[in-house]
Amino acid sequence: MEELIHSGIARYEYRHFIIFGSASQFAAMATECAGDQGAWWEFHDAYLLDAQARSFTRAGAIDLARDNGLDVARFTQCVDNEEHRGRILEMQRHARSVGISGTPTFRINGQPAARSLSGIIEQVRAAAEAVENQEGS
Amino acid sequence: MRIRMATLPGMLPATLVVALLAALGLILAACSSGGDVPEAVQESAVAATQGDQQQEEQPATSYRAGQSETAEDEAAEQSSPVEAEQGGESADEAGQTDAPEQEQVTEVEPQASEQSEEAETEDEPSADAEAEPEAMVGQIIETGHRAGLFANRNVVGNPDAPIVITEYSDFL
Repeated sequence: MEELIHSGIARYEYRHFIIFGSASQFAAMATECAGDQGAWWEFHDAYLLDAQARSFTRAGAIDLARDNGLDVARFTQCVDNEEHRGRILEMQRHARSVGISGTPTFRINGQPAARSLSGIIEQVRAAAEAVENQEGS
Repeated sequence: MRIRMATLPGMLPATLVVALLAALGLILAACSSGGDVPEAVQESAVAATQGDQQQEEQPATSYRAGQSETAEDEAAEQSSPVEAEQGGESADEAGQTDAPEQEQVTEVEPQASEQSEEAETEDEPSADAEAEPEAMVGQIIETGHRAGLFANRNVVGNPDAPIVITEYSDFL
């Protein structure tokens, strides 16, 4: 899959779909604020895997920003002003409009994806072959 | 003692009553044997059938309405018009071009014709089906599928790539 993304055939997108309320929404907004400073995926990974970050508190987010070398004042202002709330809500509306109801849900070119990583990789490979065949013909 | 049937003024003669009862019997017989049914009766029968169907469909509709009353709805309801505008701008940043009005329609009729990923069909995963993807997110991260890739905010890879893998997720 990495090869396909590297080669420019596929791209991977993450969309916020808030189903667990304010803590989840805060984490999404903090991630977007980190994205302003190029650390979107660092926050994404920390919020999914780091037990300390998963407290989903303002102080925890600021610590995470500091640990990742971000401009803490700018980050704090972004979080406190909820600067990306609209962006997150728009993702939410869009997801619901295309029938998303649970998380995590994966789609490949808008179509429901397999329920396993290996299945998704197979689907992506098949889609890549179809693209190559189209380009070859 | 003899009882005499007398025809008083205002009463129908006995023969006429018998004739009327016979005619009524014939009409009932015609109806029960599949004869023509008056249109008014047909319409009321159809209306009753439709009513039954609507009653059968009501639980599903109520269930969908109940489904939508989740935390994200509450969050969406809290948004002010200004925030909605901001959301529209953000959507453009994220490469989404559909207007909120169109989305509203799509939400009611998910099978309405749309393009590319907006043409997605209803696929509401069950709780069991979601269990595996739950673990899969961690697997993707741990196996380093994104390692060394170009990443810009929530997108990794070529913005114009013909294949788009989309993950809809929540951090909790």
